[in-house]
Amino acid sequence: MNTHSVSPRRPRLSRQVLTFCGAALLLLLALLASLALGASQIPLAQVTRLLLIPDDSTNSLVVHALRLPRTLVAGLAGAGLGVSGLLLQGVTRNPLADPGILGVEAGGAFAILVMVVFFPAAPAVLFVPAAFVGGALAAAAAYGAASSVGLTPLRLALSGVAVASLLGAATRAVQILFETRAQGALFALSGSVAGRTWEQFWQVAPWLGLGLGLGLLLSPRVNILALGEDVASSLGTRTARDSALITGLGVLLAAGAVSVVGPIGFVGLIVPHAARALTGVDHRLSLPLSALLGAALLIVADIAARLIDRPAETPVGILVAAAGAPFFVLLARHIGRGRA
Amino acid sequence: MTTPLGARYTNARALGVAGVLAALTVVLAVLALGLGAVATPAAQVWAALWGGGDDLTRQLVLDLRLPRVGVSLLCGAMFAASGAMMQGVIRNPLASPDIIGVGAGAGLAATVFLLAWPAAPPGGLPWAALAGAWGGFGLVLLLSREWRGAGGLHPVRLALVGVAVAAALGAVQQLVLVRAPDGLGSALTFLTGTVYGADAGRLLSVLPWALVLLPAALLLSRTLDVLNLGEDLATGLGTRVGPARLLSLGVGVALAGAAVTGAGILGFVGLLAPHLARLLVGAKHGRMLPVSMLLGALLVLAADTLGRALLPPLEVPAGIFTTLVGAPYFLYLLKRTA
Amino acid sequence: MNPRFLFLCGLTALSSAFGLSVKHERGSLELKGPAKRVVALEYSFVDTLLALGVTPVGAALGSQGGDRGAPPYLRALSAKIPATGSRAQPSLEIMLSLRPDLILADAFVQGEIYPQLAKLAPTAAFQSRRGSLDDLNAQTLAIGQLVGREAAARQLLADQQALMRKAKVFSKKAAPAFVAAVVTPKSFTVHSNQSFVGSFLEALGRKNALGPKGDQTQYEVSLEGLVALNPQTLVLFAAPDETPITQEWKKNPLWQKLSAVQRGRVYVFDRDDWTRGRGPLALKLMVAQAIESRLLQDAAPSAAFRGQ
Repeated sequence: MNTHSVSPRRPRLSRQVLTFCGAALLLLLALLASLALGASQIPLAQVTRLLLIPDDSTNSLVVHALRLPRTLVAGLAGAGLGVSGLLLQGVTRNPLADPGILGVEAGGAFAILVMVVFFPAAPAVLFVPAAFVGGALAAAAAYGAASSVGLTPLRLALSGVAVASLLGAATRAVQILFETRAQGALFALSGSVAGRTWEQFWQVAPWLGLGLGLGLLLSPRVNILALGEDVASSLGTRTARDSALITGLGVLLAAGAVSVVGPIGFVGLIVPHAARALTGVDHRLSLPLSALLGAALLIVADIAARLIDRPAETPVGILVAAAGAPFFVLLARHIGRGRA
Repeated sequence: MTTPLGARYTNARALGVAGVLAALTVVLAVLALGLGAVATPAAQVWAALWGGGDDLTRQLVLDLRLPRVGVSLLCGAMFAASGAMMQGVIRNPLASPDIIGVGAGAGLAATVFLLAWPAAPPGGLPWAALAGAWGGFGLVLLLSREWRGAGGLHPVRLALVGVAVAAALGAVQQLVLVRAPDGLGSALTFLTGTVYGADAGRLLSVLPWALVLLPAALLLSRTLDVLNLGEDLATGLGTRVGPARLLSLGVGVALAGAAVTGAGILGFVGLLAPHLARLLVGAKHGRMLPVSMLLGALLVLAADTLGRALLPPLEVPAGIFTTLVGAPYFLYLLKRTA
Repeated sequence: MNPRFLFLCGLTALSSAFGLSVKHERGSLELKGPAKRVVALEYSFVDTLLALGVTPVGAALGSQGGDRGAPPYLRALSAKIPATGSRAQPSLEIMLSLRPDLILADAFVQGEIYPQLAKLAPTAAFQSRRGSLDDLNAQTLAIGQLVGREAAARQLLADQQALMRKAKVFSKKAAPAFVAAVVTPKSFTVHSNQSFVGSFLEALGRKNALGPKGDQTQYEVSLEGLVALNPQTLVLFAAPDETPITQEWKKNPLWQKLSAVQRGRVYVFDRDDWTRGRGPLALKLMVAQAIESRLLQDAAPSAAFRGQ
C-alpha cells in the first residue's frame, strides 16, 4: 500500500515539531500540577522529588497512592476518548462522530450499570468487555439507523440522541426500580476519575494501550478511508473490512475509557477538531496529537474538578460536558449552514 | 403500494379511523377509572360515575382517577399536536418537542427551581418547567438563525442546533444536579414524565391551554400543508413563509410547554403519534392532526394506566413507557426515511 | 393592654375550645380533635408515633421503588402497618382507602404533592430528612399535640434529655473532634454538625469537625479529602448487607496514615438505624450504642462496633 501518494498536504515540518513539543510540554505540566494540587497542596519541587524518591511521608503516599494512579487514569482515558473520536470521525467522514454523541459511552455505561445492579458478584475484569459490548451495540443501533440512506451529520446526531435517550430511559428505570443498588453508580455514571486506584489503572491500561498502539499502526488506512469509499476501493483497499476494524477500535477505546471513568462527553469531539486544526488532516500526525491533547485536557479538567469545591469532588465528566457542549452548538451551527 | 395515495387516504377513511380511535379512548378511559392500587368493582365505578356508589369509590374515581385520566388525555393530545406541527414546519419527520430544546430547557429550569428555591409554594415546579421550555426553544431559535444574508429558519440547522442545545442544557442540568445533597427524586420522576398526583386543580390549569391551542392547531392545518410543500412552492402560493413558520412553531411550542406543566416530559409521544397518524390517514394536516391528537391521548393514557396498575402501590412513571416504546420507533423511522 | 394582644388571647382561647392548632412547615394545622388514624410518610414519623403509643394506619414502608424499607430496629414494630408505597411517590389511592384523619409528610420529599395530600386528609409537613436533632425533637412535640398525647410527648423528650445528660457524663472532656460519614459501596458522605447524626453526637458532648458547606449539611468526600481532614476519630455508618467503600480504602497505605486509624478510633454503626429512624425510639438506641461503643469515652471501640 502506497500511502505517500495519498498523503494530504502537510504544514511545514518545523511547525509540526513545534506543535508536538508544545502538546507534550502541556501534558507534562498538567501531570505535575495534577500531582501537586488537590485537597492538600504539595509544593512542585517536593512533588518532583517525591516522584523520583518515594518516602513514607503522608505527602509521598498522597502522590504515589492517590494522585498518580488518578492522573494516569485521567490521561489514559482522555487519550483513549480523543483518539476514539478521531477514528470515528475519520471512518465516517463525519465531523460530529464522537463516542458520546454516537451513544457509545451511554451504551458502555448502561452495560456497566446493568452488571453492577443485576450481577453484583461479577468481577471488575469484565467491565471493559461489558462496556465494549454495550458500546458496540449502541453504536451499531445509532449507525445502522442513520446509515441506510447516507450518514449525514444530522442523521447521525439524531440517531445518537435517540439511542442515548433510549438508554437514558432504561438507566432511569433501573435506577428507580433498584435505587439503592444503583445509587452508587450515579457518581460513576456521570463520569469521574476521583479515587481511581492502581488496580483500576492496570485493569484498563492493557486495553487502552493496545487500542492506542493499533490506532497508530492503522492511521494510514484511516487516511485512505477518509478520502471516501470510492477512492479507497479504487486504491485497492478492502474498505468494508477496514471500516469495521477501525470502528471497532474506536468503540474499544471509548469502552475502555468509560469502564474506568464513566461517560465523559465531548472529549472525542473537541480534541480531534483541535488536532486537525493544528496538524492538518493526515491521521498519522493528528492521531498522536489527539492522544496528547486528550490526555492533557482530561487531566486539566480533573484538576479543576478537585479544586472547585474542596474537599468535595465534582465529577469531571459534568465539567467537561458543560464546557464542551457549547462547542457542539457552534459546530452544529456551522454544519447546519451547509445544508447537511 | 398499488393504490394511489389520493384514493387510499380519503376523508371517509379519516372519519372512520377517528371514530374507532375515539371509541377505543372512551373504552380505555372507563377501564382506567376502574383500575388502581385499590380494587374497585366495575358496578361500583359505574354507579360512582352517575353520582351513586359508596363514598370511598366515589372519591377514588372522581377525585383521584378522573383528573388523572383527564390530564393524561389532554397532555397526550397536546404533545402529539405539538410534534405534528413541528414536523410540518421543520419539514423533518424526526422533529419533536424533545429534540428542539423544549424538553431540555424544561428539565434544567425545573431542577434549578427545586434547588434554588426549596421553600417554593407547591405546584410551582410545572410553571418553572414551562418557562424553561420557552427558554430552551428561544435559545435554539436564536442560535439557528442566520444573522447575515437572507434571514430565516433553516429546518436542518434548526434540528441540529436543537440537538446540540439540548446536550448543552443537559450538561448544565447535570452540573446543577450533582450539587444536590439528597432526595431530588421528586424532580427526577417529574422529568421522566408522570401524571402522578394530577388533581382537579392541575386539570383546570391545563384545560384552558388545551381549549385554545388544540383548535388553533387545527386552524393552522392548511398553513402547515402549504409550508410542507417547501419554501419555494409556499412562496409561490403567496404564503409569507417566515411569519407562517414562526406562528406555527409558536403554537407548537406553547402546546408542548403547557403539556409539560401537566405531566412533565413524556418522551417521544410528540414523535410517535404524528407518524402513526400519517400511516393511518395520510399526510394532509386537516386529517392527520386530529387523528394524531387522539393517538397521543390514547398512548399517554395507556402508559399511565399501565404504570398505575403494574406494581401497586408503586407508581411507574408513564414517561418511561413512552420512551421505551418511542425511542426504538424513532430509530426505525430514521432507518426508513430518506 | 394593646388590642392586638387581646385579640390573640381571644384567638388562643377560641382554638383551645374547638380543637387544636399546630404549626408546621406549610402554615398551621387546625384539628377538631386529636387524630386517631394517622398515615406516616417518613420513618421518623412512624418511630415517633409508635413511641407515643399510636400505631399508624399506613406508612411509606415499601422496599419497592428503591427504598430500603424500615430500619432494622423498626422492622418488627412496623410489620403489621399497611404500606402505602414509596416515600417519593406514595400511592394516593391506598392512602385514601385508609381513611386517615392526619397525614405526616416530609416538607422536602413530599413538598410537591402537599396539596394533593392535604385534599385526602389534614396534612402536616415537617423537615424530617433535612432536620437536625432539635428539629426532630420539636416534631415529636408537635406530633404529640396532633394525636392528643402532648403529655406523653413531653415525657418522651424529658426522658431523652435525662438520658442524654447521663450519657454526656461519659464523654471525655477535650476529646478531639470527629468526622462522621455514611459509607456506601460507592460513596463516603460526611454529616456536618447541622445534620441529624452530626448534631446528635455533638449533643452528647463530642465535637464534630465539620460544619455545613453552603447549605449542604452532608456532602461527599474522597479519600484524599479525608486524608487532608485527618480526623482523630472516625465515625462510620454502614449497612451490614453492603461492602462500603472504606473496605477498598483500607487497602491503601494512606488509610493507615489517618490519625483515627492509628489511634484505633474508628467506630462503625448501622446506617439505617442511625440515619433513617430519627425518632425517639431510634435516639434511645443511639444513646445506648454511643455509650456501649465507647465512642463517648474516646476509648477503643468495643467488638460489636469495630466493623469487619
